[in-house]
Amino acid sequence: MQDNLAIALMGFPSQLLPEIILGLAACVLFLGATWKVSRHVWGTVALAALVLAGLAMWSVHHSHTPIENEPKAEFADTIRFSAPVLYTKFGVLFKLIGLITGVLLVLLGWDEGGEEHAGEYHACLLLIAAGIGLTGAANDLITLFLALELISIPTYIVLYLPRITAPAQEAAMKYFLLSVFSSGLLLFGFSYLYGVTGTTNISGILDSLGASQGGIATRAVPTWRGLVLVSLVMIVAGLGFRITAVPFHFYAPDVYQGTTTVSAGMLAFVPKIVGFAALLKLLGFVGDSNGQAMGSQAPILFWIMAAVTMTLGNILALWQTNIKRLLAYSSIAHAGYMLIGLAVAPRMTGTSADAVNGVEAVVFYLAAYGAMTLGSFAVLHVLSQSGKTVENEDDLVGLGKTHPVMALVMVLFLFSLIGMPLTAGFVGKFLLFFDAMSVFSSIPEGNAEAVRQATEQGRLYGLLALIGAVNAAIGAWYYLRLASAMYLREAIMPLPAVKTTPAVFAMVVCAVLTLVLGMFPSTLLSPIREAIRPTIAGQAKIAADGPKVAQR
Amino acid sequence: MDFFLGTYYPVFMYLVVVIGFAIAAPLTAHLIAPRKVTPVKQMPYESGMDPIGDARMKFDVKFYLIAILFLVFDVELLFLYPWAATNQTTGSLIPSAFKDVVFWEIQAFLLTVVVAYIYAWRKGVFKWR
Amino acid sequence: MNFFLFAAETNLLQTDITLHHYLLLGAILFVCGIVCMATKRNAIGVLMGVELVLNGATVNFVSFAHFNPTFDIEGQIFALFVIVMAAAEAAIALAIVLNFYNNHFTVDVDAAEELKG
Repeated sequence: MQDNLAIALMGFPSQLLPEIILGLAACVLFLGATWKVSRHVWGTVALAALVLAGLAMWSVHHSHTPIENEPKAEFADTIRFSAPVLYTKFGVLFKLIGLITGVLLVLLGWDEGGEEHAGEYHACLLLIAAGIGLTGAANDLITLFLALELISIPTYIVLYLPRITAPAQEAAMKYFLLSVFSSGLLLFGFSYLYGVTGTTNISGILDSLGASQGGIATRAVPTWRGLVLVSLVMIVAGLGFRITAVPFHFYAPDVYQGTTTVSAGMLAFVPKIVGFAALLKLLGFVGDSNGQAMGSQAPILFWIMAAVTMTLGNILALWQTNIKRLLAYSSIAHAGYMLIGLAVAPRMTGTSADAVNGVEAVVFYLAAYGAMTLGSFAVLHVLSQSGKTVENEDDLVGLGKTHPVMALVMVLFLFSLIGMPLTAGFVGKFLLFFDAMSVFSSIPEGNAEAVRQATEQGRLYGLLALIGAVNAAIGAWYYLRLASAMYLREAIMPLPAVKTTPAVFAMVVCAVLTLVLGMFPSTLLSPIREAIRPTIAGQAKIAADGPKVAQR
Repeated sequence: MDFFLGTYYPVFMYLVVVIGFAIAAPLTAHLIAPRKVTPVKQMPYESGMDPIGDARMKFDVKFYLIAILFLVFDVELLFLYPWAATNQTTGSLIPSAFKDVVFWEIQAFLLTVVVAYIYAWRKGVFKWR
Repeated sequence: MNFFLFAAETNLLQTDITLHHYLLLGAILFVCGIVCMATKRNAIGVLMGVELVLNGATVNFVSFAHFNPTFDIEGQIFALFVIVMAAAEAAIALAIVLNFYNNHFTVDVDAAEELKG
């Protein structure tokens, strides 16, 4: 036991090699920026660090076995219940997403702000990329919290550095105060969770809450169920700020509008993906548990949040003329779509292995949303780079004639945000809505009472899918309004010609990702499925427990 | 955890006397002392200097910089105390197998503090302009 | 005459300070922090509210770890990290507020109203 623990703990530095490289590179950038002022030098160094981290990840991938594939069950359990950081497939997926996001952000932020701050700016972006990877790997409340802070704290600086205008500073301050507050809420929830279960190890917490089906259920099931519910609410509220779920969304439009386009794109994606990663981990959606760790009320909570969030986001977006505000409300609406997956996931445990589980749909949607939203902000940023800042819908008028390529790329991202076929957004929406519908249509087995209850729940999820579909239609209205402004109206004052900058490259990468994920979704879906699905042993237990779950 | 508040009653008696005196002394002075108001007496006391201008003067920005720097470096030392207290003691919380790892982790942590220090130095925070 | 002896005989003051008292303290700090955040108009004041929330959580962590003999010291360790994180955030807050003051000549958050929610 002690030896296993020692081996597990000694393994950390090599597992976290990509993050360590990014951290060291950030130190180099911070120090180097005080000697040499040049955005090209530090941008290149940041890119090199990200590539190096990618290579390190590749070598770690070959030298380490993910915990799911660990042949010795006892060894795997020792690590799972003691290690603060786990090397899992889920973690690898998030490391990869973090590195790609890092590359895109560095390219987008190449020309951001003053040249004298370029080093610090890129260093903060590297830390954010490391934080995304660390969130995916965290297996302890402490490491999870630190990983979230590793993203939040550089985010404040990234919001603050590039522009010294009053609205940008105001946006940074607003975001800062609310983000710190959300950390406080999250932490308060954590404290009750720790008090009830007696451990900060996430696997241990899930085990002791009785949600885990693999594992060694040695800990007593806690008696203070009430406190678990309180902490569920606090955690969902704290992370709700990050994923911009209603009623914690109110800051988003103001902050996106005030800050620079690149920062707004980062805020639309990075907090969302880590927020969802943390939720998936804490509620036990990943691996051998059924997502009901904190009580069977959680799906109802997510049901309500999903319905309200997407409806409010879409309806308020209809009135926006500022593009960044519009995209902020669209970001809120998309958070609502993703929450459908969380509401559905616990009901899908008994279904066949071919069906896409709600959690897989959420992770896919997150990646797709990242590509399309970063892409659309990238288009706005590229258009703004040549002088005139693109702020309002009217600035895009006539883009189809003056900048045919840019308009086409923007339309691609808008179509993906609507959910048109052949784009990533379509696959994401399809999977989420299909999941909700499949709960509706699947007929459970068991006694009459269970069947009646399950049918009732199925109707609820059918209703959720319907609300989602109606919302997608409302969303199409304002995205198409932007598209029509670009193609159907004549420009009075055309935008100046676009300069070729690194941001253009980031835009192209986003466009390619959107198309590839739309046309070949299985390239991402199969790794996600491997990362989320429980181990073989866990699956057997879940299958045995299936009907019981449906009755609850 | 045998806590009996009654054992502290001398302390409470003492508190009552102290607070009573603190209230009584100024109160008697206020009630029985004669008073004559003159302009000089009305002036705020500033060590014999004539008070000129507003008392709410602006602090220089460099004080804030020092405050921020102190805050960060001061609190970061918090990580060193538990390590220093447990590292050398026998039968400590750190199993002997991990002592080396923990030692190098602390060095890595100190390295980040040094990086922060050099950054601040290069940015000219320590220059008293 | 002797109130304290009387109190001792009636067990009025002889109560152990238990986990519940500390949890109550944590909850009160939390509520104070939220109220402070909601009512203060000063950016520093809002930050103080946040610190109260964080400290409420810290009190919970430490007291849980102290009063349950079966718990490890994770609670205390978490408290250390929270304190350091709070300091880091306070430092950033001071820097932002300082710059904000230089631009707006006030730290009143309501004066920042160029962005209407």
